Amino acid sequence: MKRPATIGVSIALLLALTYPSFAHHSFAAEFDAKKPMKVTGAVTKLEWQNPHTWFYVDVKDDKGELTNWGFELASPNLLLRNGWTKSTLKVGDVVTVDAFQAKNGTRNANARAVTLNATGKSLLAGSSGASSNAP
Amino acid sequence: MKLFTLVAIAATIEVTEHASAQWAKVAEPGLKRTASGEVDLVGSAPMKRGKPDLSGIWLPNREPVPAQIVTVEGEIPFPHYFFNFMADLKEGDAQMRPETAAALQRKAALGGAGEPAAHCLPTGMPVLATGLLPFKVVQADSEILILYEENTVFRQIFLDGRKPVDDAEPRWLGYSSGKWEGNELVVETTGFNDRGFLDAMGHSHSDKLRLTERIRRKDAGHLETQVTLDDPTAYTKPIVYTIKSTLRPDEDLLEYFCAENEKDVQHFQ
Repeated sequence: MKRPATIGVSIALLLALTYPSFAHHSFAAEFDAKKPMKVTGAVTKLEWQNPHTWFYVDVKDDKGELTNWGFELASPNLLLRNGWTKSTLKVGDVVTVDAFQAKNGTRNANARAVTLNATGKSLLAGSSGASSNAP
Repeated sequence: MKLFTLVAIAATIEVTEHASAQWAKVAEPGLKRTASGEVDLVGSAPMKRGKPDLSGIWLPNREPVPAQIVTVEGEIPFPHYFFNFMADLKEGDAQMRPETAAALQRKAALGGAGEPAAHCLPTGMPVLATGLLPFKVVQADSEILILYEENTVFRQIFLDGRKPVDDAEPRWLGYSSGKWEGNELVVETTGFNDRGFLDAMGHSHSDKLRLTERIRRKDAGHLETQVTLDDPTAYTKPIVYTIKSTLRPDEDLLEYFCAENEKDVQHFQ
């Protein structure tokens, strides 16, 4: 019985290191950690709703034409407790977004960090430095 | 003059209400506070009719996410057992039955697209109590309610001595009954369906799962729940671990209706 035990726990440990997490859904089901992007543009729309906040940004593509990208953030419940409000990002704000693109090739991405260009304030800064019990 | 004072006070209140995006914080009664008004989290646990009062809003403790794991939430720390409920097991402590291991591999191959929460279904037990959002315990004499912010779901833990349900209609969160053993609340839960996840990785359980929670309010600010998962259909031995949560005094639960803006499933490949 020794051998099956080894196999069982090994699978668990391997997946623990490779399987991304979810709160509402798994990162891996939708986004590709190997496809990072960094873009700047103006916010066109904000959806401050569960299970995820989404905001949309007009981005100039390679040909100089504006394309609209959707960016996913955590739920408003998490963001509220992390210092955001529904007015933190406003339509017209110019932002720089670090994100990972959707696997399916649509113009959607998961935002890792958002910087307000007017002030240079990084909106997700501070989350990693939060104490272990801070919401 | 008196009238003017009243008007001035009313105006101040109105401004305060408009200035706050949610309920203003109201000090919860029954908790010992320091001179500056902070709750003494390591003071003694409040009591109610001779038993520890578990009531309050609790948030599972968090720790940094290992670098290899990418999360939708970015750098927000996560509770320890959220990803893997077997995180602390050593070789031979317990093992998945072959069909449980195969199911886990199938879920991993899907990249998590099949997990219940992604489809606005309950996350499952006990992972619900190891998530990023708080839960609220409301303690009455005959039952204890646990209200989970995630997906706005609830559990009812009956304290009236009722026995486990035979041939239960399966439930995501099961049927819970509890009793006090000294200062510990011991909760037995059975009657689960077999669709819930035990953790974010997707470890499954069968409908034979028997969940025992020994809940202890260690002090005013800290709740410890020793979980024993006994599911011989899916795992070779019972698995035991302890979930630690910290009081969030003076807070309230927020709404969370998953269908409001669910748009991830359409993006899954």
